[in-house]
Amino acid sequence: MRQTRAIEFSTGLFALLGFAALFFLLTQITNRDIRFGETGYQLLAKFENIGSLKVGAPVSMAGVTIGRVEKIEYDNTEYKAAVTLRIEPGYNRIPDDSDAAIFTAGLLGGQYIGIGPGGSETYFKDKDQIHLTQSAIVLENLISKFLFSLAGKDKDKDQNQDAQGAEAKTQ
Amino acid sequence: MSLLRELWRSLRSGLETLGEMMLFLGRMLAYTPASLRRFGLIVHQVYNTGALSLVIIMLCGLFVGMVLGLQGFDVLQRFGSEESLGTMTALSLLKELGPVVTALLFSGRAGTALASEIGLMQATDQLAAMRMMAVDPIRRVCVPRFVGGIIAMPLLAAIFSGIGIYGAQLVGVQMMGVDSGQFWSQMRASVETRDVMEGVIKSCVFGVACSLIAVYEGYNAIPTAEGVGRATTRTVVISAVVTLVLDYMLTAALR
Amino acid sequence: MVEESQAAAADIAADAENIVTIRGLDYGVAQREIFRDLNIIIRRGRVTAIMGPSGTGKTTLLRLITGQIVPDRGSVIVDGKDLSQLSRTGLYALRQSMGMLFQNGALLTDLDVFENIAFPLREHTDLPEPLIRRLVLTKLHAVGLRGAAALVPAELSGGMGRRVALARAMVMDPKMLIYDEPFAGLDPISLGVVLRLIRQMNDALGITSIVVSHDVHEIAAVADDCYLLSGGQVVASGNPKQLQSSESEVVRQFMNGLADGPVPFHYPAPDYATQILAREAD
Repeated sequence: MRQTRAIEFSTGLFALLGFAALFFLLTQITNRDIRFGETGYQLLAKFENIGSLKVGAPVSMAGVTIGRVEKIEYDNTEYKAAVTLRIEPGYNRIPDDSDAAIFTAGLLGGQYIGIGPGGSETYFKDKDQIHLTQSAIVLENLISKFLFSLAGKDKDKDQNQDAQGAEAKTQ
Repeated sequence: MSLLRELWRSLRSGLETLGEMMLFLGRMLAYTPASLRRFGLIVHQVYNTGALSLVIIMLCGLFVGMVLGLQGFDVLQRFGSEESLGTMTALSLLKELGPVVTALLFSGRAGTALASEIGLMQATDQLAAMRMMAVDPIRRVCVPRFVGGIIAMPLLAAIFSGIGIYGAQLVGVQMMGVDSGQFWSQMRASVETRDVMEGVIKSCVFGVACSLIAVYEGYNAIPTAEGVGRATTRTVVISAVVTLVLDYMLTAALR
Repeated sequence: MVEESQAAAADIAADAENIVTIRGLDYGVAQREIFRDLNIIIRRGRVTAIMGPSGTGKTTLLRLITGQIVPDRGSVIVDGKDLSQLSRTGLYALRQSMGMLFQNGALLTDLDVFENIAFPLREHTDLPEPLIRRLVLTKLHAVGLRGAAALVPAELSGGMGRRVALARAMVMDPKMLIYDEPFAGLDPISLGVVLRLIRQMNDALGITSIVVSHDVHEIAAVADDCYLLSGGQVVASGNPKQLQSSESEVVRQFMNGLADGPVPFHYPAPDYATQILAREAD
């Protein structure tokens, strides 16, 4: 089996190539996860409806990612969703009257939390709660609101027409 | 009425084959620890199935990536989202095209080689000679080839995906003018480790399936020229169908 | 049943003289019966020839002796062991003391000559490399092919391939060598070589040889005992001289190569005149 040396060499090369490709795919292609370990501090926010927000979704201010959604639970007393955010330690000057809203990234993207800064002089501390929240926009609610407002306009129009008709009659 | 009977007969024979294959797999797995001690044999088979398939995998990977880049650009341009080309091609390759196309190419090149090799050994009494020499051919011939195929598949799929992304980048960025920074950063932002792992898991499962089918068909081939030919054909056909069925099941399971 | 096991026990006891004892063997495939009530004794240290017309199942008999197939009825005792009682490991262990030469040599095509012969040693023993080398070259020398160690089976002629296969069959020093049609397709010189080797190996190594062949004149030259099979039965047995001078028609047809006799020339067909005339009438 003289060829054994050549075969072993080629196989080793092949394996190396394969693992290099795998390594490339795993590191160069994926995003560098912010391992939300124990660094940073926690904030709580309650929403009427979180839409399709997921654990691990980014939390951003002015478009810059400052943290991640760590936990999503259901509050049985207030009947709201309780979302725990983990903010990176460097961002510790968020005014405590800032609001948190759920936005959608792009046209078909995932949902994330955007924090709009308030004007207060005091800042959020660990385990504080963001009180001003805006829920996710749910498409069905939007459509029914729209239809409702259309129906309302028609009703006004009908009332006006009836009134005009009545006026015309009495003239 | 006879059509139904034909269907029933095919179903029954299909189930019988499935059962036999599972038993065969069980026998091979029982021998695997012993076979791992003769690692040289396995290395030889990884060479046989993997290293020798490199050229076809790399070539096809390049062109699949390039087509993805071209088609993707065309389609995304209609929605004004050309910058998502990186995301689109990376996700398509990593999750679907990489494992599936590699599996199909693997069964075509390495699978048929395995099946015809073993089938021919059966036809020329080599396997019977081994049994006479008190060597179980399953341990000596089948298991190393099976294990070799399982090792080679994920590596080939990774190489396919990697070269595919490069090909997409070649067409999208170099030729069609998509911004290089956008291409890579959008990709990085939307591709997660989970997606890569999904592809790896798929290619491992496909590796087991395709190697099993090839080795089984070769071992049970009728020992004539026609029989070996039929075994080779069946390897490709059954591997293709099983790969695609498993693909759906895995995609659903890994969501 | 009791008689069978008693007979089996007696066979095992008589094993000192007989290495293989087949008693009352029945075997069939699909609906076809191949053997019925077959009785064969292979004595130790002898060259035994098994002959018969094509299709009588000589190769099947070898497979029964080596345990590759199981008889429907009857017993096969090899080297004191009843094959039906052996587990797979027991069977494999027994096979290590048997060497078999297949019809086409059956060399492993992806290995060269040296590796082919070393194959059993590598699989079953942990011998160090230099010792393996010495053993392989010794066996190669015995068959006269020491210079061909680096060749691949595809490069060997028929006769050379047969000799390599013989070396491989001998490398584990078996007690019994089985030859399945060793002369098929060989030129006269190679044939003579193989013939000489069969006899020499048998005597030099003190082993038993079973040769399945229908090259009557060749094998008669080296065999000690002969069995002639036909129609699933033993129709003649004894030493070659006895068979040559036999009165039986079956034996005479076979030994003298007569075209027609108990084994008919015509394959079964409907009446000739009827078939021909029917055609013409259409």
